[in-house]
Amino acid sequence: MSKLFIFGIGGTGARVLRSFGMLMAAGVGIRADRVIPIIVDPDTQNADLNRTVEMLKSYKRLHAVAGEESGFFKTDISKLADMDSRGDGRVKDAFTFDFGGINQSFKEFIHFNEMDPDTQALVQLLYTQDNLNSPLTIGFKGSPNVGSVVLNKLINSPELRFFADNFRRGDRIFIISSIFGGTGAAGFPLLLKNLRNPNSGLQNAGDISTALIGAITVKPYFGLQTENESVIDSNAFITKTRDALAYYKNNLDGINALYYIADNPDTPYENRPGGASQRNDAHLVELLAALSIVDFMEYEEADLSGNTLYHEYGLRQDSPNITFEHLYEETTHRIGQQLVKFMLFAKYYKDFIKEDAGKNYYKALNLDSAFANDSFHKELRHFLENRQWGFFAWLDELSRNKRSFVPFNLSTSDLNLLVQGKPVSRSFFNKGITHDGFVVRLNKEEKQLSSEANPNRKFIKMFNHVTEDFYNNKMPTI
Amino acid sequence: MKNIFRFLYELIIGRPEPPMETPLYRSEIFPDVGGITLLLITALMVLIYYYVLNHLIQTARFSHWYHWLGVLLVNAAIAFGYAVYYCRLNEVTPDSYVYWFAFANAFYSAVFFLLFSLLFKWRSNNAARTPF
Amino acid sequence: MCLSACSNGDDTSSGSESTACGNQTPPPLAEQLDTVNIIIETSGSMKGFMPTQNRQTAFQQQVDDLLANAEGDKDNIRRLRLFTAQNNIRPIGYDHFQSMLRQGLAKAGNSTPIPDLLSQIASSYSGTGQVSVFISDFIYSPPNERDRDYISNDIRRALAPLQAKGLAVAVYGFTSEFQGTFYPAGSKSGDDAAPVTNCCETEVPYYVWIIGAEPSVRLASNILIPGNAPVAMQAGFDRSEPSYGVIPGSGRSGSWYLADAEGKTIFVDNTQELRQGEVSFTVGLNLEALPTQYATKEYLSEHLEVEGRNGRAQVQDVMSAQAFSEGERLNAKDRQLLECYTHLVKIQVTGMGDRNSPIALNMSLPAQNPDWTDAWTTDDDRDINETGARTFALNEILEGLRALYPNEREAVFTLDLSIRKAN
Repeated sequence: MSKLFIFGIGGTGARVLRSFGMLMAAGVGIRADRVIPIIVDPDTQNADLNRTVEMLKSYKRLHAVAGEESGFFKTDISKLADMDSRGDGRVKDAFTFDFGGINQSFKEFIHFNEMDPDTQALVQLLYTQDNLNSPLTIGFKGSPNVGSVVLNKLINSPELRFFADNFRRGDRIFIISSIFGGTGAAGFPLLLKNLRNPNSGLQNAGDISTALIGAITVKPYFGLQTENESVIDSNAFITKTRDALAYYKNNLDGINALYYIADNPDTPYENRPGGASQRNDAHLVELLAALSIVDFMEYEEADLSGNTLYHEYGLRQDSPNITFEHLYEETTHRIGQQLVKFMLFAKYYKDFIKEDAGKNYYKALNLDSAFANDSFHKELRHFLENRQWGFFAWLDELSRNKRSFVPFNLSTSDLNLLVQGKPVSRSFFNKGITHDGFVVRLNKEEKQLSSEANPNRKFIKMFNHVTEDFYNNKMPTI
Repeated sequence: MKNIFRFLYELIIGRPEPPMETPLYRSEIFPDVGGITLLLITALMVLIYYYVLNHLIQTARFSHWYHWLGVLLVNAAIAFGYAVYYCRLNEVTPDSYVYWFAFANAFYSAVFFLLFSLLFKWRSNNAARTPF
Repeated sequence: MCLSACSNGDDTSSGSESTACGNQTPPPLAEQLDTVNIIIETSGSMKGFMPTQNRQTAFQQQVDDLLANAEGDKDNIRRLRLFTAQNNIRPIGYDHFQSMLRQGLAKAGNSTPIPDLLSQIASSYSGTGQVSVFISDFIYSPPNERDRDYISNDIRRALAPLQAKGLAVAVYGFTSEFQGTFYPAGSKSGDDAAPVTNCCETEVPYYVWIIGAEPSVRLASNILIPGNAPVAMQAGFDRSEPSYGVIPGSGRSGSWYLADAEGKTIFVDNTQELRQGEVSFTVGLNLEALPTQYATKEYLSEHLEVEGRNGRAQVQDVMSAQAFSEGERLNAKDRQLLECYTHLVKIQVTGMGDRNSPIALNMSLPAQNPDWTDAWTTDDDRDINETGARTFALNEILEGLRALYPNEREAVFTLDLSIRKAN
């Protein structure tokens, strides 16, 4: 297998990567040895971006412990800088692109004042005064025309060159962008064009230009509250989308698989043009968009070598509150088991494990001390429970968004009722999934995994096995 | 075996009283009560604790040290009762020695319970680390 | 919590030791008596026992009882023969015997020396299936003064045939009022004696000798003298070792215990106790089969000896089983065992030699004249009222009888016990 480079462009790219990270944490399989997300967003203050970055960092640390056999956190998600075996620090050690030093306005960026008056006049024709004066640090605020100019600079960035150095034949590329925003809409065709150019001057340009490239273009799925002051007007989303699609139709060449996803906006988001205040709740569409990455990797090279494959996503049943029941089997099959397992694990870890002091597996792993001192557990707790970017926060956001994704009953303390609409059947002799039953199986797993020397890896494996057992033997089919 | 039990009991309660019962204690009561309560019943109780309560019936509810202690105490009570019962069965001369013996037996039953626990606990699913 | 419950249980327990004394052989007892000869001396000296006056004497009463007992047990006594003995032994009819006994001895015969009568009985009235009962005052006055030193041998010679035939003799002593002339034997120093008329203010002894094979003698004694005679003695009984054993739980001190149920070996854990004299124990003896003179508390107290090898011991006390049961704090478990024994001997160990070797204790009882004889014998019966109910030279007579049997020169029994350190 090979590497997968994911370019997540703009706020949407970051949010999709966030959901992608959660799926990977849950252990959803992806046919790639290594996943290298590269977030392209000049708005480094973007809260969505920061949440994703924090989450990915945490994931990376947990994966380092869990390894590739533990079920959860099994996929290797690396930073671009991790490719740098020589360690000469040519790129910043981050998941993000370094747009270093663009804390200037677009006007300054294009040296507007030094242009001759004719050119100035042309520029003023193409860009509004707002476009020209707004600082670039908060992105392109839904203005692809700005973005396309700035992002063209990408091709010369050390990150992209570094990416090219490390690209190998057989590696794949996936690009996430929104069609209605600024950064994404502008960056996607630009990026594609550069990658497909065999004469771009990049290392391995030949391999890159023939590489399999997939992309998802997220069409509008949320609206924004209309504010007179704001530079972004969600009413223009549809118009912009239509224009962009028209552009794509004629100019988007060399994509092997293209995914589209959209939803009817319901409750508008607060209108935050960017920066730390651009912090939108996770949405089902992002989760499903993340699935396209998995899907893309499922295809064999031969399947992708012909004409561009186009994909759209459909729900089995329309509903304002989506549960597993409303998804087609292909989706539940791909993520259902792992999400349920991870949820059981997360729930148990959050609410039950502290009561297990004195139980066999607890003593065997010396969890009292591990909880207090082991950085793995601090990290894991962080990953699950961080209020900004943690797993439960993510689920919570999904559930309260419109349309909401509520696969789990987040308020119950009964593990049997955890999966929404699919209670575990119980009888006098079969109590379903109980705390006690959990402990019994954990004890058993702990003993069976005696060959696993690393207690933390053993810990994850134990929960993976136990939750899998529950999923297969107790849970009704999702 | 006889001598081991004789040594154990007389170590803490001294020679049988009244002395006339010495042969009865040494050749019958000590080995019989010791064999049955300290070895047989105690081993059985340990096995029940580790492999029935904490293995066969699928619950981890009884794996705490205080459950273990509870079974130990029940075992000690059985050891005490059986010692008294067996003395009476053998029509040993009533003497406070019977009760000292029963106490000693209860004490050793706890010691043996601990030893058997250390021996057997490892393969128990839910109590491999009980009491520690 | 159940202290009382425990002790309750034991009191009612029927011992598992009912077989404890099962190996004891009961004294030999004949099934039946073929012929019983009752021979009553009717010389002048006997007249005082059977006076013709109205008042009945104890003698008359007792001998009549004896006769009635003999007559009454037809199952065991097939033939009863009655004889009088004067200078000779002659058969006498039942009616005659009866009237002589009840109405008084009207006509006394001449006195014949006791050895002569005994000799006749030993040779002619003893044999297979016969038991002879000889009733006499046994006042033997050797005709020759010098013979008084040879009384014992005279008796022995007279009875010599008994030893050849393997027959035994049981002697029962009684006393009775005596009304008439008493013919004393005299004194050892050779002084002649004059008959004492209108005697006596004191009672006078008389004796019933039962002669025959040991089993027959035992049966005849049981039938004829069912109530115990005041004094008794047997000679010529077979010696068999009495059953014995140490009582495990009662009459004891020290921390010893028995090696086994036999009770012949004592174990001690701590030999220090032996050295310091802290060990004492009680041995139970079944002396049922022994001649009665040896089986008295008095005789045992006086003569029983304990000797030790590698240690010293002494007899502390001799008790009858009954006295022991009543006096000692008994261990309930011993009760059953105690029924096997007639006597208990308490022994204290007073010292020990080598602590690693066992102490061998040997308890023996020498055979001597019964200790009652001293009270029943006298060397001078001339003043019978002063002397009291005593018989001249009874000691010698009984010695003569005992001398007949070689085993009377040996110890009555010798019993071994051992005390060792438990391993």
